[in-house]
Amino acid sequence: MDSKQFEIFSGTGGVGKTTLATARALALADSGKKVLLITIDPAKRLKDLLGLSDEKSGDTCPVDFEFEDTRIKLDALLMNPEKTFSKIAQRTNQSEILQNRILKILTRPYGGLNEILSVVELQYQNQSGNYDTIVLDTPPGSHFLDFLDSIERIRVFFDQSFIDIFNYLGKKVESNSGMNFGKRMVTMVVSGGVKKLLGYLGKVTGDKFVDDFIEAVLHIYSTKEAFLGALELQKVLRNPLKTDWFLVTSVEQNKLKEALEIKSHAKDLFTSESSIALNKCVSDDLTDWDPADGSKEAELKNALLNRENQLKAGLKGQFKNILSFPEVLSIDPKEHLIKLTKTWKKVRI
Amino acid sequence: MSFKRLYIFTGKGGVGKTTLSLAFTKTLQNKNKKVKLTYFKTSKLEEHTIQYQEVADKAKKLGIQTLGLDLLESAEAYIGKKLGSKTIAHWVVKTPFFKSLINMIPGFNYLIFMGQVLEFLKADSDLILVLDSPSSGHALTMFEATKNFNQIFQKGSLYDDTTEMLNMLKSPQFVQLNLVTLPAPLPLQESSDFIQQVKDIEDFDIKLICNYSFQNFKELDLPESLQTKLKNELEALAKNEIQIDQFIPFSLAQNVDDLTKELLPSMESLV
Repeated sequence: MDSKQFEIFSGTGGVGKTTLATARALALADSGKKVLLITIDPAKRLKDLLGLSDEKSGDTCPVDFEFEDTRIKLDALLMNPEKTFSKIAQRTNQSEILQNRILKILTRPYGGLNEILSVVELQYQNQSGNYDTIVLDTPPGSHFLDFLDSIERIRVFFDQSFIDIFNYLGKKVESNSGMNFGKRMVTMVVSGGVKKLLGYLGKVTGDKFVDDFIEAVLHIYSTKEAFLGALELQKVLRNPLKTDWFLVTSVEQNKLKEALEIKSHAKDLFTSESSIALNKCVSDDLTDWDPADGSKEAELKNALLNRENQLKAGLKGQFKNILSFPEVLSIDPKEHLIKLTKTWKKVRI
Repeated sequence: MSFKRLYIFTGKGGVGKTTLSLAFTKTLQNKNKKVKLTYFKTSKLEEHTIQYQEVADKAKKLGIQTLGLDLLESAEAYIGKKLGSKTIAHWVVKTPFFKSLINMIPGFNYLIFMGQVLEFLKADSDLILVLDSPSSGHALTMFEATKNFNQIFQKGSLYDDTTEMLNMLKSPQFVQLNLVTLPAPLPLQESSDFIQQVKDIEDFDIKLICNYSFQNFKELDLPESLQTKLKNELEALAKNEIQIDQFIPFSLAQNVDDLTKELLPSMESLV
């Protein structure tokens, strides 16, 4: 099977994206590739199935999956923002950043820095050079757009906000010999804006917060290499020779508009060359069903088929490949993975 | 009958939150309650703009009042109130630094949004808000943001405000969380995980709604695949020891008016 350095799965949320991405990783690994699967927030049953646990989150774990008469081996990593942040501290020799009260809270799961830290993690794993392909399961729906935007935010934050804040902090930073910041930055003309802003902030939040906040900003600045390194990744992710983007949606939901919106929001990533994976297709299973005209059964059949056909019609011409995946009718998640892995093995992109 | 002040619809994408929020708001309105369907607009992302334009259009069609909260406007209103000056607030939210702060720390959005929601509820004791919230992950960010910032501030007027928000949010007399799920093993498992995660944050009053149920088609002559689907639904429900407060049948309705009419009776048990 052909695959690129990165395969990124994004979707409209609740469409089985994580299961499809996992099945893709399994299919690639089965064809002999060295694969890492990075996943953000899988359901517990999927975690159990892959042998992942919250205790091991943030580290790569070997997965050994029973498939037909063989075993598929790959690595999987469950994102843990706290762990990624510790890696940053370690790599930049800045262990004190882990003590800051504000950063501690913000790097909790759902603390708000998830998306940015997952870009950093992706960069670290890529640097390891251990894998032919990294399959990334991104956060659902608009979270995914946050993920895309986080790359841009890193740039804006370091370019603009820091200039602002250092304009204010200039003297404070200069007098602190332990901090080695660019003189040019420090001596830039003071606009006064940030000083006033922090003054107002202090009135509402108390001075302790402002002190902790300034410390947090200085800490982040001191580790900026880690974040700016992640910016480099942006070029690779936007290079169609190195990265394939998959948009996942499901027939179960009427999310055509959202799917097309994600495509248009990220138009340089989802080109007409990218693929959409259409999950939970039912039409194949219903072809032999021939209920009497006007019956309740016929009404149900029409409703189900209309749903699928409208979605397919709306997607036509928007993507190079419309990949159909069947609705797996089993309550065993392992069956889902096996059937979807089989489907992936037949797919050509 | 006693009503809550805030009903929050949450759940994964595509489970039908918006449709149910509309029907639920309509139900309260039919009981002569002063109720508004509330949603968050983050002005930056086109996806939201389009999605919420659709919500607004549907609501209008059904004669439902809406409250669409814009992030920067909400921030400005809140800061203005705290500093006693609209001019300064206007200036603060316009600074690039403030915008970056909001962008870097998404949880901050929700603090501002939730703050505004509670301000509206405090200002009018007759008002009931039905919040069509972003999907589960975001909803957790929303609740956790309040708690996180409460711990960040520790003292001062923002601390007092977040404490008040937490007290309101965790009061079962005040808030009801309507979690929407699907009748399949993974969604049910995820909903059960979600309830656990939310309960770890606060002891919310949660109602679980199972949408797109096939149980109404039990009597029909179904092909094998749909029989399996129905059987799986029943098995998944039996297996997951999780209390469903309301089932919503898979609907054959073709437009929002018919769909809402069909949903109204199911909403009664959630009030």
